Amino acid sequence: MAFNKSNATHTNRKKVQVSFVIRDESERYNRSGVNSLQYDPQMNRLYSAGRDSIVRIWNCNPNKSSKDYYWQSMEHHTDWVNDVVLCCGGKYLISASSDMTVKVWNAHKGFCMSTLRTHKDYVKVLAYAKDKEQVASAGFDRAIFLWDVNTLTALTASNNTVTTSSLTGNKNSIYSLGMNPSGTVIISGSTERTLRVWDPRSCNKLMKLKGHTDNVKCIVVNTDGTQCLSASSDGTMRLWSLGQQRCISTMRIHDEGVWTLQTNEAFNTVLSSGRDRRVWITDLRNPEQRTLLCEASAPVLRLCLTPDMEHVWVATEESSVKRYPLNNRHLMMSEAPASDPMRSNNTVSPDLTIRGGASIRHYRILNDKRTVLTKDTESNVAIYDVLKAAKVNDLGQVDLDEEVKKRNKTVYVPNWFNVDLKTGMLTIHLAQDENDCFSAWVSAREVGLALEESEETKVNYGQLLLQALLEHWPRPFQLGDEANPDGPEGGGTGASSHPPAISNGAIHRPGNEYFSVAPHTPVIFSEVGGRTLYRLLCRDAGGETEGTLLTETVPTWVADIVVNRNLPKLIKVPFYLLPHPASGIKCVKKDRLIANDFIQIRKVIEHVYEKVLGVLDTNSFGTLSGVNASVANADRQETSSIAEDKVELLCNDQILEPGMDLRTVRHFIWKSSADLVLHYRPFK
Amino acid sequence: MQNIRPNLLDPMSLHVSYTGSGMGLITPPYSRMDMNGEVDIYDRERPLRLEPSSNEKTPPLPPVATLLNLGNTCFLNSVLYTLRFTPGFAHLLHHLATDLTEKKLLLSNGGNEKKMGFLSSGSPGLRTKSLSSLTPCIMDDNNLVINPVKRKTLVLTERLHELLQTLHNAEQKGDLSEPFQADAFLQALRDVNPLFQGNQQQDAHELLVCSLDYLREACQLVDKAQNKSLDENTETGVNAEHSAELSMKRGKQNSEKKKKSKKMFPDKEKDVKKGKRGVGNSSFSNNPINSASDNDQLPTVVVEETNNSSSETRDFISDSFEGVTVLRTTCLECEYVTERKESFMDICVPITNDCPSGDEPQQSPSAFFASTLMEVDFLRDTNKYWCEQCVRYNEARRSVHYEKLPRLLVLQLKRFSLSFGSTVHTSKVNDYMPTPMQLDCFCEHCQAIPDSPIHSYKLYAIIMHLGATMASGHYVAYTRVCPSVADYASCPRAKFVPSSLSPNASRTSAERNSGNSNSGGGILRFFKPKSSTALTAESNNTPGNSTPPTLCKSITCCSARPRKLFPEHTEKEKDKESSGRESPTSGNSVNNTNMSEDVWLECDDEVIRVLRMRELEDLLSRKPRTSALTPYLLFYVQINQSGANVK
Repeated sequence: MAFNKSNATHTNRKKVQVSFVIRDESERYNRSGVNSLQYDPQMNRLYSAGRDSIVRIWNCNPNKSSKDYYWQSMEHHTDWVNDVVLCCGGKYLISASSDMTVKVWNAHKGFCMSTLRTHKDYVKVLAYAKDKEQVASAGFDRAIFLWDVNTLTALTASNNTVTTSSLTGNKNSIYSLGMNPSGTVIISGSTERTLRVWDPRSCNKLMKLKGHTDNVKCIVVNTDGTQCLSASSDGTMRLWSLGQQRCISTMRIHDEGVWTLQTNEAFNTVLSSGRDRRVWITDLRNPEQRTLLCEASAPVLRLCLTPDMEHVWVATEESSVKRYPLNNRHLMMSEAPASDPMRSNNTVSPDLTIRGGASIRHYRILNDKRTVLTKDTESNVAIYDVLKAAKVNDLGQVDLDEEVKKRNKTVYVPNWFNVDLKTGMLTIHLAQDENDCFSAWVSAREVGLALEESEETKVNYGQLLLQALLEHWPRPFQLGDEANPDGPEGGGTGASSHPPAISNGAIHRPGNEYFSVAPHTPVIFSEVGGRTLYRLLCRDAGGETEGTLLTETVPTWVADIVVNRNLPKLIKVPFYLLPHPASGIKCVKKDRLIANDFIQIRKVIEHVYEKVLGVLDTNSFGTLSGVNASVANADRQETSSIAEDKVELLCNDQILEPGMDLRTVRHFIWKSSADLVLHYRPFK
Repeated sequence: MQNIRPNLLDPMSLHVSYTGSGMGLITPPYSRMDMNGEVDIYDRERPLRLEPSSNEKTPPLPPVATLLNLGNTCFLNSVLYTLRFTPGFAHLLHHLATDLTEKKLLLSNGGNEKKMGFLSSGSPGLRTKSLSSLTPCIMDDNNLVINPVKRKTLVLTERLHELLQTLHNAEQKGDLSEPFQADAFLQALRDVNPLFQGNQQQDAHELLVCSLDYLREACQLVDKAQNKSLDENTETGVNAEHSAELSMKRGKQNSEKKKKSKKMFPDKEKDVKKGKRGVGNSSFSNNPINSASDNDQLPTVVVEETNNSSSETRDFISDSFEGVTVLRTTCLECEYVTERKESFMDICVPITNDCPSGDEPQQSPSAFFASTLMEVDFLRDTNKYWCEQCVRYNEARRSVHYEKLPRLLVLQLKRFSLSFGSTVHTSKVNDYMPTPMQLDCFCEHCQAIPDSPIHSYKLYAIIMHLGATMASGHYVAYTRVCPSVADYASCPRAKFVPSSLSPNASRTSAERNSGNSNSGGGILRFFKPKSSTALTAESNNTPGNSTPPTLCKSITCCSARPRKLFPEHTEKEKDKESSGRESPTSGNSVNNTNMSEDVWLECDDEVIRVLRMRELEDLLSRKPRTSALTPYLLFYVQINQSGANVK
């Protein structure tokens, strides 16, 4: 459904990264800025393209008095949605995103029909020729593709090829695109600072228009394609005559970059705004005639005029979207020259506000490499458990760093994930290669996963999480001890339908034996540093097509863990064990020992007591196997408590807590990349 | 010692340039029009360098004192020649060196210095002795502790001054038949920086950077000493309350200074993309001395200027060579601008071979350089910019601006590119780059008023590199002969009249003493200022009287005194030329300083050839040459609208 032209070979080409988003099942508010707006007058609905990767549909006249405008979310993008256009009379929506894809949606039902993956970088902008139902997409890969909407909407899983014409010649990243309704002219604006004009019918270059001194951020073409208006980061708007191939007028109205333009059908009035937050209405025939409509609370990303010219929607870098009323005074200004149009103080207030939510702006990862504290735009601090992909607690408006200090313990766990806040929600990228992703081994009991009975069990964070994220994927399930044919079919019902059944130590359920993640959790597979390959919800992995796609997408090192249930590699720490100078014991030889990095000092003390000091065995002097053997022996508590009374270990002359593990000692006490040196000292 | 010197130029191309320039190099017998009115023994014809130089009976007498190649030391000689002809350098160095002596930071090793430069004095034994004799006198009485590494930089400074002095004296006496050896300086250099040990060819740029760095360190030490002695004065002379107040002030300044010095050696910052256009600071941060300079802030030393007289900083290296760049990054999404300022001592110019060709109208070389140096690039594709406002990777525009450009601007053409293969080696980029004789100022201030820049830059030296690699090549310096009198005019120190017990007074008198002793008593008698229009009146003064207050005496110590170069010039021409360049004080501003009248020297170790402007331009022109002689370091001096050097 949500794919076409899926490229079966992509798994082998680039490294694949696994990510997921920790969020509520239903995100009813824009979590970040809104990049684009489309208004459907028939349904009186507004479509907003969110930086939180979600296209939301808003019902502008809710029946209830609840003022809840939320109608539906369209979720499939994994990065900022940069632009949306409604086509075919509001039936379909095309969206362009920084995840490098263009998606076609059924606007009324709100599902994704197909995904176009021809762009090689962020897709920044779309242009729409209404009369021809043609959409053009362009972005940072400098390419412009022309799409026939009717072809796009007819795509199916079997009929999944689409031909496109591309317009080439751009030397720089494209930030703006304009096309007239009849599709006779298309104009692109880029950091090259020139406008390039093509005939989309023949794909011939027509001209270049030079004059702007900075990036061109918005272009509007008039109906017959004879004039266009451009807005630039240089703070100006320029009106161009395409016939004369020159700039007719330059308007300096804004203090900073102009980012968005809306003209009326007659192309004689323009609304403009941008970084300076001010929305101006200007008469194009007489630019001195202008009115300040309003001043938004953040830089304005997009204006959207309703066709009846009664209202204008304003989207900003903040998550709220506001509607401002336009009246005749604003639009008829040329007929009634206002006494002082430049500084008219009668700006309007919004008559409708779609409230947005807060977006996460800051984060701190605690030392346990599991807990993440975040702070959002409303200064609220929240605690997340990355391992379980869940929010743990809201702390309210407290000091982030104070809370971090309060919660950080002296423990060292290697990094196994990265945090990304680009969508305003918490996105976690698991480390890109298996060595890093599976670097965090911890004691199941100490991290609160297992209770008393399995005290010595070590678990790997990356492994547990991957198993939980893919627990509905049929493959691992079918390969499990107990093939349950009903399991995958019940995908949508969530993990709770599989009660953990641990008996005889064998795993009788997919996923891991400790926990499941929320079934609505989006799981994303992407090429490292770029293109999204596949996004699905955790619970949907059981579906047939999803399962097939996963089989193509999941990198082998992940499949190895999740499907074949292999154990990740253990991380070894080399170290030297020497008598402390104060102990008076002579060191016979200096042996290099190797142990797992999560080995506790207690175990090393035991080893010293038994092997080195020769209480139990005078022979073996701490060989590799010696340490590992003592480690593997889980039930020797008496010995260890005796040992702790007899021997102490020091590192850099600091006495070590028996509960510390080797990597913590190395990180916090040894603080060197050289091999760790531990000294033992028997109590007198 | 072996004198290894590859052929300077392809003989053919030399021949071409030669015939093209006429017979200007043949010096007619000496006429009495000599500028200084000294006895001049330079009355032979200068033989053409073209002639096979195999054991000529009478070696040509060079126009200035020459430096012998001590075996792969052309990198050293080219830098020394350049520094010697750097406007104002000798003068400022002189004051630094005398300050060192006077502050007892170094024991002036009297008679040693005059023989310096000859092989006899260059023997290692003697030098070690003089070094060791320094140890006890290092500020024992003042409690100023100088760590040994820093002490070596002081020795280096003094050696450099001595060398210039030796060369000056030789030129005064006309004793130019033998080339001199910069071995004492080289040894001092090797003592400071082991990188220069061994008879390897070195990067002239690296040497320049290091030398300037060491000199700056010496400047800062003198500042310390100055404060130390000031400190004593205030503490004895003024009541305690006042001194407390002073030290408070000092503490404040001190912290400011620390901040500043941190900026001078910017740490490798977290910003990964920063290295993209390293503006010449990489060589600094790699410098072993810098790592030592971190712990030089010894607690016993108070390191700050306390009053106005000393707050005019002695750090002439920073004053003259240091500029400030501003790196501006604009996120193309939110258009938020971040700025980072960095100081630099030289600017690295990337070699772009797309220069004057292309569809754009031909840029002037000056405009080409300015645009190259202020190139705007985009962070995009796989190298996007992390915008903290947007919390994501976006495209960004990065541009370099120059907040302040120094009086002396050094441009390093990025001729050597590191290539990492199985072994790391440098390869040379031989692409042509124009060498503008004059460069419009491109600092932010001047950019704002493009039609009337306040100042511009004039080329005064080039170090050319010949050869395919950095290790095997040869360096030749080309320097413009600019009479140095103007540098010595209106010296703030010369004006000072001893009147009180202030340290400045004692310094001046010490300066005078040292100046006298340096000039060996005899030289001063022969000295007369050059026959510039501005100074003819002054030259009426007999040397016995005090020299005019505007002319610093140190001109008799270590200035470059080139001999008459083109005697066939008419007197009129010469006057015009000299008045144009030498007399900013006379107010006789010559706007149209005719470039063709500049005289250049090709300093190729012990061989120095006089070049006319035309010949130099020919040498720098684009025409295909078989020779791989390429400009590597370009040295510019800031000139104001009248064409006079900015002080």
